[in-house]
Amino acid sequence: MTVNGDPLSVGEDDLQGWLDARLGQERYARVEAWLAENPDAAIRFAAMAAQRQALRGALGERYAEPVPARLRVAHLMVARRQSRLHGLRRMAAVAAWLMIGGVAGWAGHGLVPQGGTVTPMRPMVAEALSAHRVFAADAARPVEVAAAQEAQLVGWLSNRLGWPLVAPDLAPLGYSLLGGRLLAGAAGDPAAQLMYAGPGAERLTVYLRADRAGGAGTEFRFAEVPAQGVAAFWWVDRGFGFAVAADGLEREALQRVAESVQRQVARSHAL
Amino acid sequence: MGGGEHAMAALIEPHIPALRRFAWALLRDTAAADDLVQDCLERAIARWHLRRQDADAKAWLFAILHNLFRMGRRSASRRGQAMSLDEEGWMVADPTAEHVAEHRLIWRDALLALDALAEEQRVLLLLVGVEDFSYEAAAQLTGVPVGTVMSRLSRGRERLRRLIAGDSAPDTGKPQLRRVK
Repeated sequence: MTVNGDPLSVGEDDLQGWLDARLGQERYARVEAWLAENPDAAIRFAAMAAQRQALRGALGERYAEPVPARLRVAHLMVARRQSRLHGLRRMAAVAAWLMIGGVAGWAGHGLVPQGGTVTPMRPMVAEALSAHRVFAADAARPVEVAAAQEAQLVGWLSNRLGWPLVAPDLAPLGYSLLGGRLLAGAAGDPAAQLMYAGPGAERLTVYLRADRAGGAGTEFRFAEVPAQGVAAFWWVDRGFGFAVAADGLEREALQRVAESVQRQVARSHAL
Repeated sequence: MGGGEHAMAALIEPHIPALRRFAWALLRDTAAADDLVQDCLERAIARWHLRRQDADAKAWLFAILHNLFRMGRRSASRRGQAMSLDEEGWMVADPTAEHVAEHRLIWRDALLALDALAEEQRVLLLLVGVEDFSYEAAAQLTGVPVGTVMSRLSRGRERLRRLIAGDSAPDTGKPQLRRVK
């Protein structure tokens, strides 16, 4: 923290430390002595110390203000529980609607039904389910780029999505990466599908794309098309939608995979 | 609330006033700042189980808020009102209290000048100078080396000084602020 490593000289970092009162006694005394010998710098740094105080003073009032109710943790916890419950109710309604609507409901997944009491499936989720159905069944060519070229696959999909993709490691859960492909999302956004094979060669897919539709958070939601046996857990995080889809897998097992994917994505993106 | 939730609330709540102050200093709009804090808290609650057990809750919360801010979610609300302040926040309650009024002018100048700094300088001046984070914690929180923190602080503070003093700084093309008396 000194210029040229000379312990007696005073460097810029020492002066900042002096401003912030972060110096030990000895170092502090050295900086004070240096400032006494350098009146121009002393004037500048006194001004900076004053403006530091001014900022603290100016913002002190903000700190002292009472915290509004909506920012209390207890309040946020209640809102969170309510939105989860709401999500479950909505999903139950969607499932019912899809069962009744069958293929017609599927085809119209982007549309709001007349009368509007039922929320249609989120387009990102509907795409994930239909992409799973189409490609998981394709034994000859389930993926566009195989896992053998994982680095290229991840680099390519990251570039196209404009989002630093990671291929979650699901080996501890018994799933190995087969590869992935690029798809077109409903809104024209590029989407990626990663495909995994389970111990019995059953397929599991992770679908993701930009999803700015709003109305969803990082909490898990469940969606399924019972008639086709496909189900997914999905969530939206910072404008990106994720869906982990499978067919014929137990809900609890699917949720464990989805949780692992979410954890790995969160970890790879720091916070 | 269950026991775990009480423990979480006890660790998060003490930092909310500081989070609101930091958010307001970045956005200068009370409603937008509280929205940002709310996003930050919702995220923190959802990810509470993912944080490192030994992580400092304050630094963790500030890192989330800073990340959300940087992601530019708030850029639209901010662009519309560069250099403006919540006027009602600066009314002098008692006009006879002249020293208070004097203080407020100095404070106001400091805040206006802060707004003219580059974002990464502004963030560090706030984290270190106002929120009392160590240089190391500020480095970790913003994801840059300590050396970068030091140089940004040094340059930011010098520029703030020039702005407030009304010096013409040949290295910048930005308009200079003058003290309003």
